[in-house]
Amino acid sequence: MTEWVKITIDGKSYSAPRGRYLLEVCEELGIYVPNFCYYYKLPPQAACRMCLVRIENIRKLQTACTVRVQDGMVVTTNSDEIIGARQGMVDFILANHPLDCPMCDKGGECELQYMSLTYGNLFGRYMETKEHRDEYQLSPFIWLDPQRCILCYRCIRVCDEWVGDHALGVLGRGAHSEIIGNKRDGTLECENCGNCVEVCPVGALTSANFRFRARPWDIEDTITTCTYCADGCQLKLSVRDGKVVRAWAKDMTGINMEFLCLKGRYGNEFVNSPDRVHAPLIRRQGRLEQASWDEAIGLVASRLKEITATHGAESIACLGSPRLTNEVLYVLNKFARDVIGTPWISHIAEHDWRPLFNMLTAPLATQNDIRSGKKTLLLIGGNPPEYNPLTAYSLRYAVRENGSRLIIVNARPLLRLPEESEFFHIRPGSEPALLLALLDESQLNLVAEITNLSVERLGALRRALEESEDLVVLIGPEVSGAALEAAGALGARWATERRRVRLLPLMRFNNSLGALDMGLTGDLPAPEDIGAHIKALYLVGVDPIRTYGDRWREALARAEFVVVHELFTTETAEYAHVVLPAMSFAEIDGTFTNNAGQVQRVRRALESGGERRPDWVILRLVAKGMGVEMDVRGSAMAMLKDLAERVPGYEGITYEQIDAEGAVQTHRALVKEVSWNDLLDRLNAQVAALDRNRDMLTEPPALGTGLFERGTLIEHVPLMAQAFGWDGSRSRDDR
Amino acid sequence: MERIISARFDIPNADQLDVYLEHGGYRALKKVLTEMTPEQVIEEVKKSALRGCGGAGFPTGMKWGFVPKDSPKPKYLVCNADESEPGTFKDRQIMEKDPHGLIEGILIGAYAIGAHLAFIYIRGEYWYLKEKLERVIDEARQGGYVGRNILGTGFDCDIIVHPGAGAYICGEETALLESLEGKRGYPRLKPPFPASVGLYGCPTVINNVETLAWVPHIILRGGEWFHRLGTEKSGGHRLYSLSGHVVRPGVYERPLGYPLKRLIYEDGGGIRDGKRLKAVVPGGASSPILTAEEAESATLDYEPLAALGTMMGSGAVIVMDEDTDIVRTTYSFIKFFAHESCGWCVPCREGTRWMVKIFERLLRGGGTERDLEMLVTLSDNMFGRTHCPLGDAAAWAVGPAVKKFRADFERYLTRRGAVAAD
Ligand SMILES: Cc1cc2nc3c(=O)[nH]c(=O)nc-3n(C[C@H](O)[C@H](O)[C@H](O)COP(=O)(O)O)c2cc1C
Ligand code: SF4
Ligand code: SF4
Ligand code: SF4
Ligand code: SF4
Ligand code: FES
Repeated sequence: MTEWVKITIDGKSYSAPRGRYLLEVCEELGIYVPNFCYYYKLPPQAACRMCLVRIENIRKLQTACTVRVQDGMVVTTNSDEIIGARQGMVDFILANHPLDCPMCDKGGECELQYMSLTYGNLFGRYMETKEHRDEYQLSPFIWLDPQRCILCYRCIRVCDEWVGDHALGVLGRGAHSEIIGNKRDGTLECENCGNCVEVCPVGALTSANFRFRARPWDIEDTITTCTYCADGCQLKLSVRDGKVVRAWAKDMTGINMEFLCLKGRYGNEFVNSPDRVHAPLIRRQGRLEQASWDEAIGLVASRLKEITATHGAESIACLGSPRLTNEVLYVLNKFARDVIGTPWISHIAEHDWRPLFNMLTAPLATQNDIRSGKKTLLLIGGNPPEYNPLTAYSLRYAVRENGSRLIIVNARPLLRLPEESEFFHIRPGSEPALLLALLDESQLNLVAEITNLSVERLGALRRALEESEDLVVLIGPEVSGAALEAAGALGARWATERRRVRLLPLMRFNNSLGALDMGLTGDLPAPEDIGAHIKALYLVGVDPIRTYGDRWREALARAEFVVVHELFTTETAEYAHVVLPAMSFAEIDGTFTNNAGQVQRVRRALESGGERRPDWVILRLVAKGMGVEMDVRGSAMAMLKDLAERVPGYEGITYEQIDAEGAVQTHRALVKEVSWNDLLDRLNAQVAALDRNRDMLTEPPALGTGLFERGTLIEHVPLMAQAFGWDGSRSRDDR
Repeated sequence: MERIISARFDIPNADQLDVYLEHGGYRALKKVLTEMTPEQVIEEVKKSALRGCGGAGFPTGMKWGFVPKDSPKPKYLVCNADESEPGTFKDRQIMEKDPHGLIEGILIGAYAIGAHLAFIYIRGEYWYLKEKLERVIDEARQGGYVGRNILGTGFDCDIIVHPGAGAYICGEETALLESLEGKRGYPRLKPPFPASVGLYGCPTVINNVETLAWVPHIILRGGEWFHRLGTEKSGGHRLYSLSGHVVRPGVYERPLGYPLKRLIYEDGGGIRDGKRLKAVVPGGASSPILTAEEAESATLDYEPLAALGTMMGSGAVIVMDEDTDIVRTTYSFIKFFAHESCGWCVPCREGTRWMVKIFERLLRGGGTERDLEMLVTLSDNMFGRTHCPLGDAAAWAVGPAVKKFRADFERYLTRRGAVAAD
């Protein structure tokens, strides 16, 4: 319960929540108190001394960033004394600072530059020699210019608190203090998320991809949604001269506040790659050769018609990528089902999440649900710091800011999650048994044996849930089949009038859930099916060889006809008869649905070069070639309108609404009646089949397991390829 | 004048348990454990008006009283043996010559606040004293004075000696705690104060070596007796570390309210080689310098020294004769502070470096009037605006020196103000 107190600032009275930091109160009241080391949701540092104010009856000036407001406090934020103090601080900071803003990458968006404008002296008073220090690279992604550093410690705190990596520290003392990385030679071995760079107020930390490539006033920013994991961070893509030059989140408008991970921040420059497919390609005498759109579309349409005529429409399988926009997936589904008429429409996925959604009895948890209020967070499987970095950030936030209880059930210890979390170390593969324990108390003995947790520990786990009033269960991909249904049923089992339950599937791709929602829910053909009853494959942005391995190589070779929409000539494209050049997420409008069921905007940030076309346009052209006029309207905005009329849960969602709200929640129908006996039968069967002798795993998964993983898009980001030693042509060498 | 805390300094082998026992050792501990409640101990110390001898002069009894009694967390007592304030060497005497006295004080303090584990954080350069203290603690343990079930009373308390790694800032109590926890020695934000959130987040009292060594005497002879030895607000005697240009430098036990002049002329035997007094730093490098005239009338006590714009500090009196160049002494102090600044906050980190550079230029002969003003301005811009008192001390070492000994500084100015900016 917030208690409001009366305070006086600069002669005016206000009421303010008791105990809040004075600086934040001033900020909310629109009273400017300069600061450097203060940062939203970071522990106060009190290092820069810019925020000094006078508080009545206290002898010394006080730092507004550390003082908590109390009833009757009388504050002066503006007086000759205070202005003098601020000027003095700017003097100190500028003393050894290189005063060469035109040569600094931060010029134009530097907090010290702004501050100097307000509080700097016209003439520098520092007459001594400056101690120059060379800038150097902390990691492939990050540079440090120690002389520009004002030692606000934001980077260190962000790494400690937001990222949990504890990778930065200070070396040396006094004026010789320097930010350094955690490796023996002072460089960094870390996630390389670049959040430290983002919060650096000056040009001390810079990103290798962006530094000295643009000035803030000659770039254009577009807010869009990340194209990597299913958490769905909002990011700003900065574009200069038709090229993506950086991604950042400084304005904190999204569900991610100011957080981005390595991929979201540094993984976007595949868009600029010269290797992009820029024109249609047709296979002639075994080689892909450039062709005109008319020719390519004509060929695709006629081959599809021929195959339908000879083998039936069911012999054509369509596969979409969970990275495509809802709009594209929606049109692809229509194309498959209505134009071709095949039931084989599915999407590539790392995991089959359908059982969860078929048995969903609780609403999905948003990042905000995790971060707000004190609650119990149960993480079963998964590895958020590697595969769902924003979720990891939110978990750390929840523990730090709200004292939420984090319970981790995993076959391995996880790194970079709060020390305060409780760890239940289970046998690998025994997740279904654990879910059984959560649904059925009578089987704890069996579950104990399988999971290698004692009955007491299982009891403690159940008690933790019983004690919770607000429960979020995060479900990793180790949970599958009946266990996933069981996870979906946790709402029905645990929610009461006093206890709210929410679920978060730790999905892998930015639009995994959108793909399910848009109806790409058919079964995936098995590689053996190809060449047998599946004769042709229509692939939109997918590379099954990459995802599912070599068995697909022969499968594709057996197919009569393969067409792909692609950004790059992937391994799969090497087997295609036609490759159609598609546009990337940065070049189109649309929406993605994140793992919390929130619909967010994808916005066109730049022109796509070459002859590329958006996927839906290509699909419509192919349909037209097949003699079918698809009922698809011309723009992404109009498509969303169509989609919102037909896709359950998306009713009424419009661009205007998303623009206004940022993320719009879909309405998911929940299963009302769970037939427990059937569910438990299925779950028991799954549990009975588990291997009870697997060795326990004690090592945490290595740093970078997920984050540094090579992928179809990210391997075309030069900085990534360089950093992780991907030699550009691996896919070809492997053949 | 009776010597109390230094009474055993001249007794041979007083650092050995049997000799210590012969001379009244561990009687106070026994009294406390068998006859007094923790509250009574705190009350007695409050009555004594004992003030911390580490520098800040905070009333010890009051500090002990701040420890929450109902906290379920363990409590800790930490003895600050970092003794790094330039000019200070009194704690060393205690640890060398009467170490059991310190151990006894620590045990009584621990009992008073409900601690069962105490730490002695000792400066790294005192490695030989660390070894000695460890031997002494072992001896005391064997004698049943340290460890489990002390003197059969059921009270447990162990003592761990932990060496610092050579940073002055780690004498500041919260930086000390960070260092003790194995972290970099940065001063913490206050509040919370260590009495509620200290070592490992638990209630903790930090006291100077001398402060704790006084406690057994207070217990044996009573708080009122101790109070009467000193002045109204500050009880007892203090150990003064007298150094500089005096005939007999050394550690002197004298009361609070003792005239500075007597310390220098009677106890110290006056200025060496019959020279005249020029300046005195009365409480370690952190206390502003006094001119000879000011020193004439100064009394060694908190309020009178504050009235002169300086402070008691650690009781380290540094005496300077007429040949002393105040520019060079001040330079040496500011260099010390610049070297020891932890770097956390802007004004101290940048201000000390800046001032050092100005001094170096002055000393090279490239100084101007403007530099003297700049030194005063920088000192004003630092003072009262830093994160911990080290920055204040650095500012205090310079501003008053420039103002009071301007002639010394002017000797370094180039005639026509040519700035040797390089
Ligand atoms: C920069 C700095 C250095 C200090 N060094 C010491 C020290 O070496 N020994 C000490 O006892 N107190 C030192 N202090 C004072 C301690 O912070 C603290 O006030 C003292 O240990 C408390 O004990 P007392 O109350 O018994 O004096 C220092 C303070 C500062 C700001
Ligand atoms: S890049 Fe991320 S993990 Fe690495 S130091 Fe910066 S904040 Fe920490
Ligand atoms: S590198 Fe940047 S964020 Fe880090 S301390 Fe220096 S100025 Fe602050
Ligand atoms: S956490 Fe996920 S959504 Fe956010 S930036 Fe990283 S990959 Fe993108
Ligand atoms: S005043 Fe100096 S020593 Fe104290 S916190 Fe600031 S920089 Fe560190
Ligand atoms: S913002 Fe308060 S000290 Fe930096």
